[in-house]
Amino acid sequence: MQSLLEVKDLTVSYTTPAGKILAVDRVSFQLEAGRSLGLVGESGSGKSTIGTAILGLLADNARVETGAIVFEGHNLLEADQETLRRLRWKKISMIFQAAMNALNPIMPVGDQIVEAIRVHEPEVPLTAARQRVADLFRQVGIPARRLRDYPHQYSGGMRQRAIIAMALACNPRVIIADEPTTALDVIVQDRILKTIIRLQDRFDIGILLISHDISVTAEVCHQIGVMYAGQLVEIGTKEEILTTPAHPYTRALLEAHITLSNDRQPAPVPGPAADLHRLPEGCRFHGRCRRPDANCRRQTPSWHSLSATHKVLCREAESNGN
Amino acid sequence: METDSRKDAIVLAGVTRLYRSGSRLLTARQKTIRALDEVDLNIPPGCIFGLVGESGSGKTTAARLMVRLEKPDSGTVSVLGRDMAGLHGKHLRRFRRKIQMIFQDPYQSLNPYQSVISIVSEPLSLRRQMTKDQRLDKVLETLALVGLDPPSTYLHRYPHQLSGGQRQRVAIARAMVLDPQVLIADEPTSMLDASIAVQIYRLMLKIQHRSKVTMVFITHNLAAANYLCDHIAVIYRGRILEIGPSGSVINSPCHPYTQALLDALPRFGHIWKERRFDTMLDEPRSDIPQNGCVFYSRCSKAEYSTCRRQPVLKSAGRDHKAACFLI
Ligand SMILES: Nc1ncnc2c1ncn2[C@@H]1O[C@H](COP(=O)(O)OP(=O)(O)OP(=O)(O)O)[C@@H](O)[C@H]1O
Ligand SMILES: Nc1ncnc2c1ncn2[C@@H]1O[C@H](COP(=O)(O)OP(=O)(O)OP(=O)(O)O)[C@@H](O)[C@H]1O
Ligand code: SF4
Ligand SMILES: [Mg+2]
Ligand SMILES: [Mg+2]
Repeated sequence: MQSLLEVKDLTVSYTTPAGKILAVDRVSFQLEAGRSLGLVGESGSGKSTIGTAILGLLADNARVETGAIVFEGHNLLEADQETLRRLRWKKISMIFQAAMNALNPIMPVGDQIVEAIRVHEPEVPLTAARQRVADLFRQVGIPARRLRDYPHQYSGGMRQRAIIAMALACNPRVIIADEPTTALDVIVQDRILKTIIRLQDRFDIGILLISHDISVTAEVCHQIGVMYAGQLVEIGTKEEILTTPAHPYTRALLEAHITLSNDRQPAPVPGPAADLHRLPEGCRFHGRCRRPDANCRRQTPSWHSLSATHKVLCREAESNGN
Repeated sequence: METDSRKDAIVLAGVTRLYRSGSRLLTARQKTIRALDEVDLNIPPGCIFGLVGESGSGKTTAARLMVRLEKPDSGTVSVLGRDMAGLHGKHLRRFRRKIQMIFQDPYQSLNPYQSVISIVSEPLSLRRQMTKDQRLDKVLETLALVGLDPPSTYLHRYPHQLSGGQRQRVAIARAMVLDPQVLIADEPTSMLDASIAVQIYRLMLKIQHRSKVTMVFITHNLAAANYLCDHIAVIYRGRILEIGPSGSVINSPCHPYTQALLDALPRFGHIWKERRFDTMLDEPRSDIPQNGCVFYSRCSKAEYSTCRRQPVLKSAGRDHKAACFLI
């Protein structure tokens, strides 16, 4: 079966005053329709860069060095700006963290979404667009009577749900959600995650959920990918990542997570965050790894499959005979 | 909990704080928000006290009253035995050194044009009797305390040359350099990733252990509060709905709102794995009584005839209280 979206061997660099860095380094994964993939990893590990590369919205100082992003059989990296602009919204849409501040303050929220539909699908009559927006509001749990309200009359959580409604407005195939609940309180976060889960089931959308909070991706996603210093270092089903994490970084991330259970004291990932300007030889994580051996310091690790769905970029898996 | 209010580090007695929103000219349209509504709160000294509630529940308002960035509309706020309303001018400035606050966003709370040494030594300029060398020593000692090690390598850096976690450490260093007796941390980790947040929490535990400073930790996340705090107060719409030792509040939550806060946490590592309390309605009720329970509109357990009155805090276990008619 062909995937809905395939990222193949993607490398993205940024040119900075201190030199060139590889923010994303040979990353590959696939996203299926109606499934979701969570990307986790510490700040600066390259998660958002992957999202913006898929959307064709990379910064001016960024460059795609290698790879392909294949959507419905086409390599998006070879598409022209006009094609990409049409794909965004209609086929691939996005929800960003700060998106709730992106609503136009002087226009009723409902009208903004109606307008978005009419821009991208001019053939849709006004009444049909209005009807669609009313349906979407019901889907994301905003009462229809709030359609005429202005953004400042909404709470932060309602604004973020309106943004989700807008992202859904043109029936996209893929949604990229970059930290959609970061900075929201737990009650609102829970509502929004439930909304995302419901919509994914209902509309058969593929979702890429980017978050530094592994428990958030665990709540929503079928699959989880772990990023470290620009590399994907482990990918598997949610159950595999949570119950049999194989990469020492994944294990450390899970141990750093504060939960209600008292049987486990959270511990931060040891050592300083990775510096993309000064990456070490060998495995990039070896300086922070609990059990590195001499080879980890010299040789770059290669991928090892632990199951049909679970693989890890670590020598330890190899020495364990997997 | 000790309820001898003379000994308590912070006491709020019948504190109400109102905000008026909407246009000042169109008085008819003005709405009054009760950010805090007759709050009584006693925070014992030398503990870490958690104030937990969703966005808009009044947490920051309570913090601003404690450091006297604001005054209550009624009721009294006492810190370290002093009524804050009676402090003015020089006395207020001097007293304030004992009460420090750190904020959610270290990106905004640190001046980008000040180096670390100038940020952290600034409060010391109030100490006229200290020599320059003594000040430098105190800055180095404080930087080491917050884990910026070796301290001398951080002195001449600017905020943009630090990571988010390092910036928050600098903010903590600035707050700790005058050896305060009270430290209020308003969502200090919400901009940081999980591993850095744990580092900051551990630092707060270490500082509390060493200096016996009374800490107030503000968060919307009961798991973080449980990890850090000895006591937790759950606040909603300006009212304390449940209060008690962290262990009892988490393991035997009594108030439907506390239960909803627990339900809302992601399931990973959750102690109530199987159980959901389901106490929060998706659609708020519309038949809202005039002076009823503040949680009425969203409470799935509510009954109009009972909950149309306001529940008061009642005992729900040892040192544990909740304000709900179900108890
Ligand atoms: N426009 C840019 N120019 C130079 N470097 C950049 C640019 N954008 C990002 N970077 C760098 O690229 C790396 C990856 O950044 P990215 O934003 O993808 O990380 P992230 O995993 O999304 O982090 P966060 O959790 O903080 O959002 C970081 O080191 C970042 O500093
Ligand atoms: N200066 C102000 N003017 C008008 N209303 C205000 C002001 N400050 C706070 N409020 C209102 O008072 C209530 C309590 O706000 P507060 O900032 O104390 O909440 P909080 O619990 O700290 O929320 P958050 O988690 O979002 O920081 C909210 O309804 C808020 O909108
Ligand atoms: S008093 Fe009534 S409305 Fe309030 S929390 Fe209890 S049951 Fe719900
Ligand atoms: Mg990002
Ligand atoms: Mg606040």
